[in-house]
Amino acid sequence: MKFHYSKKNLGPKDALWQRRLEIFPGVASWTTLLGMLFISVFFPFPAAIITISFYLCWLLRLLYLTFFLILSYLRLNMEQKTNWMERVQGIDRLVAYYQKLPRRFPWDSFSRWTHRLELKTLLNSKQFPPASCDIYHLVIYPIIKESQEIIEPAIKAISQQQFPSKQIIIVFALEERATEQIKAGVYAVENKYKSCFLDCFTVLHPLDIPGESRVKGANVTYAAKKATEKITKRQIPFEHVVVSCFDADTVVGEDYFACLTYHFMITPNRQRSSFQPIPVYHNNIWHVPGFARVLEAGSSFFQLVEATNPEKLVTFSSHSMSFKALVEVDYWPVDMISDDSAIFWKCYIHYDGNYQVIPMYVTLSMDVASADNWWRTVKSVYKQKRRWAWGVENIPLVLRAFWKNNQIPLWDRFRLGFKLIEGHWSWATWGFMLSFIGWLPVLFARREFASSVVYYNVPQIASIIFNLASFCLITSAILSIALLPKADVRYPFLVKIGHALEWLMIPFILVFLGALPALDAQTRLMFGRYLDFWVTGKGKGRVKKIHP
Amino acid sequence: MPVLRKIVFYIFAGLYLTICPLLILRLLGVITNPQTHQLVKTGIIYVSSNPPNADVFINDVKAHETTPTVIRDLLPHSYAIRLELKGYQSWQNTVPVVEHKATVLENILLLPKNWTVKILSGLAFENTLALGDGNSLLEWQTKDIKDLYILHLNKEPSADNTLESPASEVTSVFPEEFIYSDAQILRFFTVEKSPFFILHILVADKHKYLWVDVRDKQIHIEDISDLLPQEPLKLWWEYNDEKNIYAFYHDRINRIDIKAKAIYPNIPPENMPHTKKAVRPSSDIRESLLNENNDLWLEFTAQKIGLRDKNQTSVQWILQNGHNITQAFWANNGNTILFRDGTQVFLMDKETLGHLQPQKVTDVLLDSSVYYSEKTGKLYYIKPDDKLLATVQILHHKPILPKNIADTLRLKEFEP
Repeated sequence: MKFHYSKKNLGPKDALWQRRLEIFPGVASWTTLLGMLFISVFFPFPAAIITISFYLCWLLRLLYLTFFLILSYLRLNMEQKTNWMERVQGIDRLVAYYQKLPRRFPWDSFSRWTHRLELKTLLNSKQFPPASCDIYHLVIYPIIKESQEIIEPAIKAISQQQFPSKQIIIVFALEERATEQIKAGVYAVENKYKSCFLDCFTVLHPLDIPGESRVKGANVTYAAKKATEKITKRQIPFEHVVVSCFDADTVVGEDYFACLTYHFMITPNRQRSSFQPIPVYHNNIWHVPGFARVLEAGSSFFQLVEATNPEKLVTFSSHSMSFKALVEVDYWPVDMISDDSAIFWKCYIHYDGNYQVIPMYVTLSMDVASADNWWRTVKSVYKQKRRWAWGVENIPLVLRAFWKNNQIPLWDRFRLGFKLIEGHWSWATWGFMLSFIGWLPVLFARREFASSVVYYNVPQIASIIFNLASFCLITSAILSIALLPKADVRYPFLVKIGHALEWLMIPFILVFLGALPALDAQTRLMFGRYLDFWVTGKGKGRVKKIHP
Repeated sequence: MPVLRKIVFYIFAGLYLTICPLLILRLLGVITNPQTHQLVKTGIIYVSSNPPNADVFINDVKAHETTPTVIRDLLPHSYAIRLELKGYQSWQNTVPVVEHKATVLENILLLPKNWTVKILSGLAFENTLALGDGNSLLEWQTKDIKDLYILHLNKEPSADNTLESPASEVTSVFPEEFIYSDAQILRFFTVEKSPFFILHILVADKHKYLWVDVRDKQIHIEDISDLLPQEPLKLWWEYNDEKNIYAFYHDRINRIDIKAKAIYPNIPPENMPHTKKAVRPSSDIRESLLNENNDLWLEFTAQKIGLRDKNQTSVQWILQNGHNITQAFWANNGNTILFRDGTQVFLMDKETLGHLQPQKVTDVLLDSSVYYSEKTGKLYYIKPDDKLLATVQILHHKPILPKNIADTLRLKEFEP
């Protein structure tokens, strides 16, 4: 379906619905919070019942997510030993390779078992991939404030890939409004690494192109269009190109592009697919305040859990996709902040639901948002989370599209729409419900309620639930330590213990750097106070190591 | 993985749908009777004591936790509750439990087996008077102004004082060289919550009025005699106002500005600052005291002590066999009443569950006042035998650690 995935230039009816649906998420969240406040004060009995029901739901959901977090982490761990390039080369001679694979594996070869399953699926689909030597990677780095110190490790990491770097094209999408120093840094990196790749060039994004907002999506779209011209000139079929849009601080492991190539090749419907790695924030993890470490570990965990549910997976941050699909849907939105998730929805709607995200159990590392001092780091992190929460701007667009698109099965529209709405609603409300509102019935207890059994049982039951939830907290702390890179400090063991204790800041983080930014974003959308794109401060305390 | 995810999702959804109703029933106090295997509605008893950590016995069976504690899953019935703590008299009562309701036994004051008396000064006094803010106590030996002393209640002698070794932290209010050192005290004027007081003294047949502020180490005295040319019936001021006093006469009220040394005569009553005044239902009630929650009056006559809801006029008499009740105090966060009947001081629980038995605390000097401070938890009085200023610890000041949010809200910490 051709759908104008934008809030601008709409007809009167569409504009009206667009506005109504923009108001909807904020209203839902505020109604929940204020409604619970109201019920807690005036109807404490039902409020207590709702509170306990909510706590139980939260606990079970937490246990459910923790279960899949552990599974996903184990899979990630397992796949770290995978030789992706070997598999890529195996697919080049698919039938022979498949037949030679042993049919029975040792018990710890789940990875090979899934590999065999994927090969069988590919064979049955008859949608064979191009040869690996014919597959190219287009990597776009949007840059506005990132210095050479930040960009260079990322490019260096790509130049040292297992996958032939001569099949990689690097594009620096540089904003014209960047400073001369930034531009000089970009050109320096370009010149230094040009010879390593098939091509490496910079595209200067002019200011104030009509129809564009000052968003990253506009920049990378402009660069992608320039890259399209170059790819066309080289006569490379778009079907053979995988495009990756990375943040400027994204550092990939040496097997990243081999892994990406494998997933591109093994996926039958590869031209209708995005490929989502697991983002980790290890570049400067040991040089930021503890709360930032915990927060970004939580973000990584979220993606780990999401990876276990590919049917509902949506692209996030640095990811890859079929270049052909990108061109067909007319690139990233040029007037939206959340271009990373928006491109998925755009593709999903365009292809009438025939679009998917393939999770990749490989990590790529980025910077934790940071600044000069603790307080500025708090502000920086807050603004980043608010920008992530600005993905709520997709809700009105998606719902309008779903309403019009009858080609997408109704059940799929319902479950994806529900997940999108519920995800943002719980993001903005659950932190407050757990930390404050749940205690209001007891706090505002009048005499009648204060002399009831319910008044005394609420704290006891809540206490038991929270104690059970601490199991999930401990699990998260252990996994985050396991996921962290080695600390380049004198007593790494003590540092890791300290990091485990940092997870006790969860109540603070949950509210002030979790729920509050989300509520802020939804409220702004509700009142039509659209966010400007704010560039996350990065590079503070950068470790001069390449991500493993 | 998607299949596994669906399976696990349905398992958790089933768990939620199963556990949630059971949890709600638990929340409402509905349990399965172990004998009849039927659902029954229960009530609870919440009990806290001062001091805490007392053993709780329900029908002679010891509970797992000490006070403050909640005893759950009680079938609607009457239960004999007993509290025991080493060094204290046991407390017992029979309380009813109603379904879905909590029977609250809050801040039960445990009385020591032996009251420990502490002497505050080696000087003998004839009477004592607390200032309105409760931070200081005036005591005097005679009516001479030089025999007026003060005890700051937050600066008491150290804990090892006993009857055998009295200390002298009580100090003279006025210095020896004070110009009115030969004056005779006629009256004291104090106001509730105010740290100031006014002395009406007689100096060489002249009436003088002294405004005294004792908050600092150096006492501040203001002679306001010129502003009170006639003897007032009463003097009153707002407790936090250091500037204005209201002098009540037979036919008028004057406002006096101490700082500006000005008199504003004939102030209309409606221009007076609002004060809480009890509407006493009968004229023989000697005093009315509002509790901390501002919802209950404690009222007493010479023979009776009663409680009256703030918005009602009828008094519920809880003691009717007194002799000459002259003073009463709310204590223990409004759960206990301390009162003076003749030359004896008694303690009594406010709760009317069961028979009320006032407990004697101590004897006091005839015609002297006693004072109870909720801040320090102590009773201040003059001993009848040697007229020494003494104190008895009524409440204990160890912080009561809450066991759950309900305790946090309902219990208060005491000052160390």
